[in-house]
Amino acid sequence: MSTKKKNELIPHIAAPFFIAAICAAVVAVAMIKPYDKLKMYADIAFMDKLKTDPSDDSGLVIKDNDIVTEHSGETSATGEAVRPKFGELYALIKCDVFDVDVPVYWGSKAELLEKGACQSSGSVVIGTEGNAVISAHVDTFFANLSKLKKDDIITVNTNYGEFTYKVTELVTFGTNDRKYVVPSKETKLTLYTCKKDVLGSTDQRVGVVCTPVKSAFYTDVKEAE
Amino acid sequence: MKNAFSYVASIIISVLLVFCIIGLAGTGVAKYCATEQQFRSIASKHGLADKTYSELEKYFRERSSATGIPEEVYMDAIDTDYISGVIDQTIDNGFRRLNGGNSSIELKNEALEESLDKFFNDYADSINYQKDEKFEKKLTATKNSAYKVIGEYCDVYKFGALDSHGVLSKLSKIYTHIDLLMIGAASAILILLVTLLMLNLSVKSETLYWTGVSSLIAGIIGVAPCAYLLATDYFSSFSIKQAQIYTAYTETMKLLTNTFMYTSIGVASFGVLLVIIYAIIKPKNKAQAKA
Repeated sequence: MSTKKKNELIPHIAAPFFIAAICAAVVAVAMIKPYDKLKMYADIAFMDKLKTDPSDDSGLVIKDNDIVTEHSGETSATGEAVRPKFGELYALIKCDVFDVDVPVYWGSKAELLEKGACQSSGSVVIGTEGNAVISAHVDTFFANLSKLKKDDIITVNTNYGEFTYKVTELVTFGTNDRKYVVPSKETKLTLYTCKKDVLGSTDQRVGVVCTPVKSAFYTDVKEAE
Repeated sequence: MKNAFSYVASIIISVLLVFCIIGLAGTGVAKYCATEQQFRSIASKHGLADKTYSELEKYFRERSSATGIPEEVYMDAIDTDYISGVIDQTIDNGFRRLNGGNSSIELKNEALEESLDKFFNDYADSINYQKDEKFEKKLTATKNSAYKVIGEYCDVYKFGALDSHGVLSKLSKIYTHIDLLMIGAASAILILLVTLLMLNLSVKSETLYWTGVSSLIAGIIGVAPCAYLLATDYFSSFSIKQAQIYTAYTETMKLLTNTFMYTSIGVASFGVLLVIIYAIIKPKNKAQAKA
């Protein structure tokens, strides 16, 4: 084979490998986000009642209410919040970063955590003074919690009103550190989840502390319900 | 190669061509496989109605210790035809939501309601219970609960869960534009092919080579993950406990993976064919170019 022919042949043989390497690298990087998103969607769709057996003898009664998200009636900055029953779906968290609307159940239990986020019954109901503490699994509903930034807006819909919060603090704390989850005089919303770790669960928690920006209690609650 | 510029430019265009081909194959598979007809066909082919019936029987049997209502009260009143109809309705409804529409599912079953009425009335008579407002409320709640459970168990593709968490409305934004995405990918392929042709005007057969290489690589990139998923039986390892949902999910994933893999094999074969044609006609073209 002549040198000229060889010189022509080498780039033709090398080209497919070049192209394949570039494409494989791009695909590998580009697929990370869609894979995570698909995994989260699949977990949300197939997790409830399927991955663990709901214990019928636990006495837990789960009540899935329809939450009003578009209210056209009159509202007021002050009003009365309704304390839900344990296991009742009573709020819906909306935030661009979350990618899904997060249902909030009152009380904390494994079965409830598979259906949505859980609000500690030791904390205050949304719309009242004090610390409202909500947690959820990191692989489903709070998969994107760590992506929240300061000044991001979070909306919480309940059947008695719509409450808007602004993220003011990004926090990391240990499971034994109760600082962020204990009751407080200051009105705030605390959202937290497990810290993602390649090796499995960790003792660290990540979360955000939000302060109220706007409260809109529905003045025609019965009509809205 | 005439010069380094056309070589580098051809590589860049080939990389873009690879992604456009993968995009066209992906959107094509989604358009022709992710349809209500395919989903209904999986449901009927794999006996999802029978599986759902068994799961419901199991559920009502387990619940009977807490509710006091024997499973026969429910299960003797419903049959697989009714369940099959509800499954089809949930699939149609799910796709209507994906297409941006809205509708509800008709679960009403006269036989089931009559069976529950009879059980409640017989029980009340047996203990001489006065049928008051509380009795009616309890009866209505039991009927509603039965419909809710049947609806959930028949929602084999979990459209309800996806919808209630706002996922379906997000997927709808892509699904409703799938034709546009296909046209976009096909147009991009056409533009890239014309650009390749312009770059290799002096030896036109080079276009065949670059197109062939792009098709081959696009095919390999498509085949590799699909072959891995199917060879390792990846989908069978999912821990979904309800048989009908497990079957629906795994069979749908297998159908999509299989179709995408065969499409990719076709694309790769087309690429090999183009490279072979290039190898055959190249000497001829070069001779003509010299002459």
